[in-house]
Amino acid sequence: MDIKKNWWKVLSVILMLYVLIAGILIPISPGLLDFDNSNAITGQKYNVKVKAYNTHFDQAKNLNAYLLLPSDQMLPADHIDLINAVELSASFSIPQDIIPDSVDRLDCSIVIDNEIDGYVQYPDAVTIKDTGSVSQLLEYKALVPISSLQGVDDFNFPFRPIVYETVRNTFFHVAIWMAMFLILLVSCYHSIRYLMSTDLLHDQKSSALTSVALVFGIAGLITGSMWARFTWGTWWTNDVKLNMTSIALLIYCSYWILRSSLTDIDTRARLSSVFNLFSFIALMILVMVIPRMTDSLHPGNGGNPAFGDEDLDNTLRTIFYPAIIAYTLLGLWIAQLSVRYYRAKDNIELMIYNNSK
Amino acid sequence: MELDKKLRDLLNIMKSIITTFFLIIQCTLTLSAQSEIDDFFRSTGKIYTVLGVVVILFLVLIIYLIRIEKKISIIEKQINDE
Amino acid sequence: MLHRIFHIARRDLTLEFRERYSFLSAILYLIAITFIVYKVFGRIEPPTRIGLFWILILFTCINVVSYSFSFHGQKRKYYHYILYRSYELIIAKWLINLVKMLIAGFLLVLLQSIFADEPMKDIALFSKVYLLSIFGMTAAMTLISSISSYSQNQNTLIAIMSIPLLIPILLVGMRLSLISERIIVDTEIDNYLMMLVGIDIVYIAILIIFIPLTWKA
Repeated sequence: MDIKKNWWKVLSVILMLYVLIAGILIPISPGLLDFDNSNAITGQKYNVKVKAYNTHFDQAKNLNAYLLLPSDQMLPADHIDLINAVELSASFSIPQDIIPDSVDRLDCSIVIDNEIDGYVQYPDAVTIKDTGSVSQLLEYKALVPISSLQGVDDFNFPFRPIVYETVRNTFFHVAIWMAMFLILLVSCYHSIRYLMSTDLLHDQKSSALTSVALVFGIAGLITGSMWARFTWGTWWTNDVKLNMTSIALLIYCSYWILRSSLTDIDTRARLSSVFNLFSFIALMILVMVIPRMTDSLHPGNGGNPAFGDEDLDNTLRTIFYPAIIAYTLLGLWIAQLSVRYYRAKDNIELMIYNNSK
Repeated sequence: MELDKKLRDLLNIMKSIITTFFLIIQCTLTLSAQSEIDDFFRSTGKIYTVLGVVVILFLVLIIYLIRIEKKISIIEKQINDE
Repeated sequence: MLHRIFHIARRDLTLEFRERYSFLSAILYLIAITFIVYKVFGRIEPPTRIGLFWILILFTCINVVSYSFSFHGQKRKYYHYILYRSYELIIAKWLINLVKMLIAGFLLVLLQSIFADEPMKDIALFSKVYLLSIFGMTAAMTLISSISSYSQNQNTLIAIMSIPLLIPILLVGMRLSLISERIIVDTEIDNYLMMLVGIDIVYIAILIIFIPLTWKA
């Protein structure tokens, strides 16, 4: 095997293994999942039981619970009861002067802090209201600035509500779609080359690349449907992007039907190149443009922030970009094998024909 | 020669099927291992099984591709020599 | 150029008028299906009526346009190649199909209003929607039928290849016609209309740019 000529195939294998191992093994950051009491009243005690994820409360020596006020100050808890490594219950005494005169209620976050996990917070969890009643004389604690939180430097994947662990699917599902787009781009390039030069090699290359892209697209749809099952509960939603993507895949299936129904090689090559270019344009419009104009559950469309700034953390990026490269190179390898196989078959037939003359 | 070509035809079809399955299975396993999210514990024991299965499937695919690559290189060299 | 396009269109129209059984059979399908549906169901709710309308338009579009490129013999094909420039021919055929679909759509709206005993609630919006959808649908169908005229089983190929292309237009058109019947209330009508215009422009541009590439030099 000529390693120097095929360095990119070795690179794709190495990158895929890296993506698989790192993507599955790196843990998710700790976070707060749930709490049970969201109303607090000034002058009274506020008891809450919180459930966290991926925390080590039982091993922490310096465990604190706070209510984070909008003024960036924190109210410490009076008392913390550990239930287990991920659950605890805390009680706070809410001072009476905590609500400034300009507003009538405060929305606070619950923050739990320890030296192993750093801090976990549930934003906008509690509403503090003033009913004017005082239950008993309570000992109020002093407010603490936000800088006293302990940060921890750890390489973790971000904690996202609703998806939790399945954020790892970004490297598989989304990377497959991106790889599909790149492979289709290369296929369109070869189609244009064919139309300009009528060299049948380009037609073979573009058809092999399109078939690999179709396989990736179907795999992307199925993985997306599974992801939807685990996060939103259904296999298929009435989402614009999902519909448009399946329509785009149907267009590529019809590319194959067109190709297989034509017998003359030159006509087949010419028509399928034209159809390939035109389905790529249709794909771009259907999948990129239309979902942005309407509401969609997918990130980056319909008013949601774009998939790039808010959805991709820096830690996710270090595995996401290699995943795209790995899938693209893998697809290019499979397409190259396909082209070489068909050309070898044609050459053998040509040789047999020449020898028999 | 004929038998070799027929075998390769079959292998090519199976290749595309296996690629699709591989890409799907690795996601299924990753996601199904996370269904223990309700316990709020990291399923450390099971995650290594998932990783092992996915890596083994991937390596099977790669070995298959390398085999096909070798066979095609041999045939191309034969064609070039003639 | 416009002159030549109209000349080709007029010539093709006279030819088709001589053999008008194909277009009239599509119209007959329309009338028969509407008749049967209204007789069986009695009274049809507005959502069903709109769904029926769009399904029948899709079906008629496929029927009508697939005839435009089914040449009677190879000789006519070569005649076209030699005499006309490709984009003029394709625009002429597109205009003919547009006219046919306009007739079919008008007839269907009339029929439905007669059978259902009530007219449509927002005819202005509905006709806008229909016009825009027809532009896009006939462009896509003309493109597909010209590509598939090179193969053997032309009709199946046309049906298979055209359905994915027509679905976006149908989706937006159905949503807009539901709005026009006041079944759902949506404030983004202009957004959808612009989307239809966009899809139409894309299909027409693809028609004009890519068809000349498929012709032999």
